Amino acid sequence: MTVFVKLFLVTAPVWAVLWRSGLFVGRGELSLVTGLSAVIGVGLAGLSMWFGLALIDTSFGILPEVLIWFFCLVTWLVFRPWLTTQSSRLRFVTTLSMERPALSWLDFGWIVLLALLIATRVYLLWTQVTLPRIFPWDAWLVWVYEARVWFEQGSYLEFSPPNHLLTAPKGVWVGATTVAYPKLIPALVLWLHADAATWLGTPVGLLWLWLALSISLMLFGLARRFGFSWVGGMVVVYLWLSLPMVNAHIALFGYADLLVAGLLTALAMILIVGSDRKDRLLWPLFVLIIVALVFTKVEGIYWAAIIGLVLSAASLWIHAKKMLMATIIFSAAFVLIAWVLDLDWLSWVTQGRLSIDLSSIGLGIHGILRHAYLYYDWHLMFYLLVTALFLLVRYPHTMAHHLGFSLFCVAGLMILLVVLPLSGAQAWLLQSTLFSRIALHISGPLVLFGAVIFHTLWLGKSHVPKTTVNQL
Amino acid sequence: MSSIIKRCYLAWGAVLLATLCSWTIISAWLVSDPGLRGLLPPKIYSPPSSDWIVATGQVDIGDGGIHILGPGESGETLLLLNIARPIEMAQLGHVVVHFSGQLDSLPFLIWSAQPQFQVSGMEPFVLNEAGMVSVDFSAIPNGSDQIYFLGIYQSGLSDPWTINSLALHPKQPNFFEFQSMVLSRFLAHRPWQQQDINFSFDQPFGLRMSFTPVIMIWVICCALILFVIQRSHPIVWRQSVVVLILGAWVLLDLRWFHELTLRMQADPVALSEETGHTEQPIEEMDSVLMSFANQLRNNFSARDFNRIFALGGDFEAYRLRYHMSDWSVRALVPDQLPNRWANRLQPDDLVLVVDPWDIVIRPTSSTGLADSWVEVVSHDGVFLFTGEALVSDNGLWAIRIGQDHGTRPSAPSLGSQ
Repeated sequence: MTVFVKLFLVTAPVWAVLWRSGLFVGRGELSLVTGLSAVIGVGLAGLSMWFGLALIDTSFGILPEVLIWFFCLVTWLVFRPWLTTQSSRLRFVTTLSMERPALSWLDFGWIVLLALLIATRVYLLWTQVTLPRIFPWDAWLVWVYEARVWFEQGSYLEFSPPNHLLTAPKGVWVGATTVAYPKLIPALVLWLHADAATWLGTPVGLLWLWLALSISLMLFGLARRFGFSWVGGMVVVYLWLSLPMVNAHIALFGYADLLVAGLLTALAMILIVGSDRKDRLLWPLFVLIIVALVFTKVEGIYWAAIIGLVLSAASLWIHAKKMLMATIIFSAAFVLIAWVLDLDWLSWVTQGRLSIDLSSIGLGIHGILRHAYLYYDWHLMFYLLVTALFLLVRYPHTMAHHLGFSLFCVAGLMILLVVLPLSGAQAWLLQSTLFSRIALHISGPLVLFGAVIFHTLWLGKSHVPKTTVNQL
Repeated sequence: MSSIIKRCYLAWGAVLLATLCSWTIISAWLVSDPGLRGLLPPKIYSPPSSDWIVATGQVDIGDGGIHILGPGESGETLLLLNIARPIEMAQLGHVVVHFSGQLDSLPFLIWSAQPQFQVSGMEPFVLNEAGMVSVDFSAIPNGSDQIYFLGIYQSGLSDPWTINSLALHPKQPNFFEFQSMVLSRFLAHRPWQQQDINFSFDQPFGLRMSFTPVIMIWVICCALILFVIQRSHPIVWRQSVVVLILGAWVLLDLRWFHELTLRMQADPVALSEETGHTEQPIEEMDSVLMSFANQLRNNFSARDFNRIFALGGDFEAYRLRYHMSDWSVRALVPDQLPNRWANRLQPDDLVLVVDPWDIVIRPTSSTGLADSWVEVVSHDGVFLFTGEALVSDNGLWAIRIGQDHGTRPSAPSLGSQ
């Protein structure tokens, strides 16, 4: 079975349930639902493969596809009457409220031009994904290797740490790292090979291209939901897809970061839709994405914690501003005490992976300045995001309707530009991949965040971006 | 409306004119300085580093410099510098050597335009001032040759002297050469390296310029000009700034697009031709490794051995580990191993020696062992282990560890016979 058929098989049932739920009705619905289903389908496939491997050790074959179809079918059967009623009602109301302006020839010209730019970029990415691989970069040494061993052995194996290289007895497979990385990525790679006769290797990269396309679809749908025209939506997609670091992660596939980026874009989508209207159906999606995040990458756990903090802050702001002020004062006092007493709270939270090291902040800042502002990795993204922050202070109404999403983006930027240089990861920031990886995680929401603020600049300061549903 | 459009034309015309004028002034200001105000720094090679190779002569490379003590048996001294990323001769201005000590006769600078060292040209150094000699490359006629090796050659006896550093100074461009240098730097693509996700390449030789901040500074200046012209129409100004930003983004993306297009043309064969000395040997090595692995699979099974190790460099050892994952091969990379690691090998372990350059394998037949027995020694002569050679192919060996693998077999003495 080809990789694309497998991806389609796990996306289709999720798509059907999400479409029927009517959760995302309004402008950009098709794009939103398709992008989200593709990411959730992949997440579910990885999770079911991993649980199958770890629990019953017999998840080869098409078990994930069967599980996902079964799960979606049950959801469909149990909630059908309710889903149908809600979906029909929302669709009816939204159709009435949505204006359908005709496209001018000029717009059409821009759309064709942008479509060509995007298609060319995707084609270039395709050529890189399908290029035969020779050199074993670290994704190939760790995650893809683990999947291959499981494939060759026909069962799940634990890997000994590399310091057991010379002491471990026969029959023990030795890994290339001492870090206990979550197993979702090797599980996904194995899933793509599950019914293959021989190890495929290179076509695995199509999964990463698939993820990039899913993120693009979600960004297009979200931009449309924020009131962007077709041209505006395509500009947002182009901005994200043209980032050289996105390209690098697709060309050198095998890392978990693009999946984290997909999951965080999906989370941003839930935050945006959730601020439009409270719907209990969003919670299972939210939980599912958080679970997938935690099993995808260690940093996914930190992101899940940040999302929790953001949601708490947003809800405090909405429901009790005094409580929020108290929380801020207590947090500031806590940080101050921790600093004075030399308590490394960041190290506690991150289990020692990141720790505060005030003696070498300069190195950290140097590393960030290089990667964000000097190299070609991010085009002008970080310059524009800093400008967007200033504009947000000038026009705070811009994001008034999407407090959770805005806080999430601002928190992400603060993590990247303020917390990381405070941490003990300066060497990683200066020479290695840490900054770019973490920046990639949140690149989708950040590009959208910047685009919405600049869109306000374009339309005039009196413009208040509202998504289509809260205009009802 | 028409007045706004006219105003727009005026504004964009002013931006274009200001850009051209300011670029001309900045270029002239940069070119008026020999080092382009820090944008054209020399590349300095200081000892000790693995880039220096002693071809002949009594030379000691240490922290304090390269001490040239005397010539070799041939009466000559030749010290080579391996240029990891070849440099175009046309880019090179001066080669400057800083030294200490007394030079009886001035040495020669030689260079190789071949990846395997071969003298392509030779030029005597000129003494500029005390402790500094140089060669002016811009005065030497050259084509588009690339320099892979530089060498310092001295003939005959001389007093000891010490090389402190060697600096390659790029050729100083004039105004128009600078424009062409900027354009070629903008459209330059970096060598394709699959293993590098972080883009942390060494700075290439020549113009050191990142266009991201340059373009952003240009955007800010243009936005200010537009503001002055369009201040009575804030909405037009704001829209102009957004268009400007998008234009700047597309401009940067054009550079990246150009790089990607070059990669698109690179099928595996073209890829190795394009990147020459970096990827091609790896690709060749890969087929050698695969052939070696197939020979092993055809003749043996993993069950025939205790544990299986691939001993070699990063690429070879990990590549074989990946390819023979069903055999549970473990990668042994000497640089990453503890001292005396070979003592931890066990009888019936299989060691696949896949590093034909740094590991030496010698027959032990003179020691009374069977012909198939070999001893394995590191490149610096440290004995590692002995074992039975099962397969040998293209310099790669499969060696089964024997019972007394940690003991160096000695030649049988007459007394013991």
